[in-house]
Amino acid sequence: MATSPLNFQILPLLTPAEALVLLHGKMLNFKQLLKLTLMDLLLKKVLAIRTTPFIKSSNQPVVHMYLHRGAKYAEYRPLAHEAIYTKHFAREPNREISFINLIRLGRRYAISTTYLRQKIMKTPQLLTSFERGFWISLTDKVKYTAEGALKRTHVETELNELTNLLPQVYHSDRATVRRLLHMMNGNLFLSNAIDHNLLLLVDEELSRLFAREHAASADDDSAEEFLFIAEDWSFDDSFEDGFGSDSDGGGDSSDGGGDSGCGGGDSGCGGGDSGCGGGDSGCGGGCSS
Amino acid sequence: MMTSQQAALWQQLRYFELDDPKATLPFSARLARENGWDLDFTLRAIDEYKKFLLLAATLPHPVTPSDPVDQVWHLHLLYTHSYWEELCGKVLGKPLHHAPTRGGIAERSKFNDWYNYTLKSYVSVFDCLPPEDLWPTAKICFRFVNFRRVNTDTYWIIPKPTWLLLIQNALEQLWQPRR
Repeated sequence: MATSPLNFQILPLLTPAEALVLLHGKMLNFKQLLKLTLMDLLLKKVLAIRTTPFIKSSNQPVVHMYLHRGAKYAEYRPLAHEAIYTKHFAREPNREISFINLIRLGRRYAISTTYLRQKIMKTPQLLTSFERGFWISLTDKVKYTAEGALKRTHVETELNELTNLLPQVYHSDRATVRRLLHMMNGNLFLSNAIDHNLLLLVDEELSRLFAREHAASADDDSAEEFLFIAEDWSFDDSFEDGFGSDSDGGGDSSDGGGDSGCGGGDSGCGGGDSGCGGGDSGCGGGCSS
Repeated sequence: MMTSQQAALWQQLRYFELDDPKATLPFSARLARENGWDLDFTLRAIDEYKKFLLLAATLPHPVTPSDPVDQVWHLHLLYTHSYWEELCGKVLGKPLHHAPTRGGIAERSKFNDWYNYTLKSYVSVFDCLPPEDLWPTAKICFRFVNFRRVNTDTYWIIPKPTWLLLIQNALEQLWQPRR
């Protein structure tokens, strides 16, 4: 089967977040930034996912996803905007963080769109793409340099090419799709022609987070036709091997937990008589099992 | 090195979820808020609590948690369903009671010893040193622990400078009764 020639020059050099900043400047979509950055790290195998069967109280097995260091973690030098996800694994090599909590951590450390964008604008790839100076940083203006404007045009062109190419090759030319995935990593998902189960899950979780923060999360995810990669998300190796094939759907999003807590409300449940603490030295408390 | 029984229990404890993903204020968020911790520290404290649970459930000697781990335990005890039914009932298979100190010097030294045993057992079971910020030495763990519940809506909290704490610590040591 003949593979299509791929002439992408600039997109493979950028992270999706850098591409988004180049494309949209100040009009960035925060959720998109967080989402594609995580996806990119997974595709680059800097982080990896494992699923764990979890037995809920009602004995319904629920799939829980945990993220841990991927095969490339040690050799990868994360950029500042990627460290919001990667730095939590630096201290303990075997640390596993649940999918939901890593998204919460990423969101927390990203702080805000402006903060994250300013970090992205200082990456080696974008350093000379935007004008700098005291006044510009004070007013948070985004002004492209000539080089930046040119880069932006290139990114736009390549993204259009990608969006046109994907529907053509997706069903007929697996090899090209695989090459594209290797070449583009998370940038593949900049194109609105394609989507992925995991991306939807991240999106869902971020929406929930933003809703909690009372920040309107109604970004209109353009309801255009897109290709849906429905396959298992444990894509350490399987993502590329099983690209588009053995569509397993992956399962329902983690909804375990259980209804513990007498809490409810906000500031706690009062009552109860467990009454530990107190005492003398504070942190005592042994256990008799 | 873990025994096979410990390894099997650890697999269950490790993935024992305290957070209800659908809750507006999940366990970890509440824990972080009530202790003024950042989320990363909170999640690490929860991981260490799970390790503590393994030690408590499998070691022949009594164990004592560090203060951060104890805070996780305290809050978990409030989630009675999760604690008594899910954790003790299904995972540990036995009740795990929390026994606070009765106060006094004897108790203090007892917990001090237990704490040191706990740290030693941690190293031998998990084959690694406990993280210092979550498992400080007994000296640090049982000092500077005058905690009090404060309503931050009506009070400001201003941190004391470190040098003041050091002086306070030195004075306390000077005045400590000799054994």
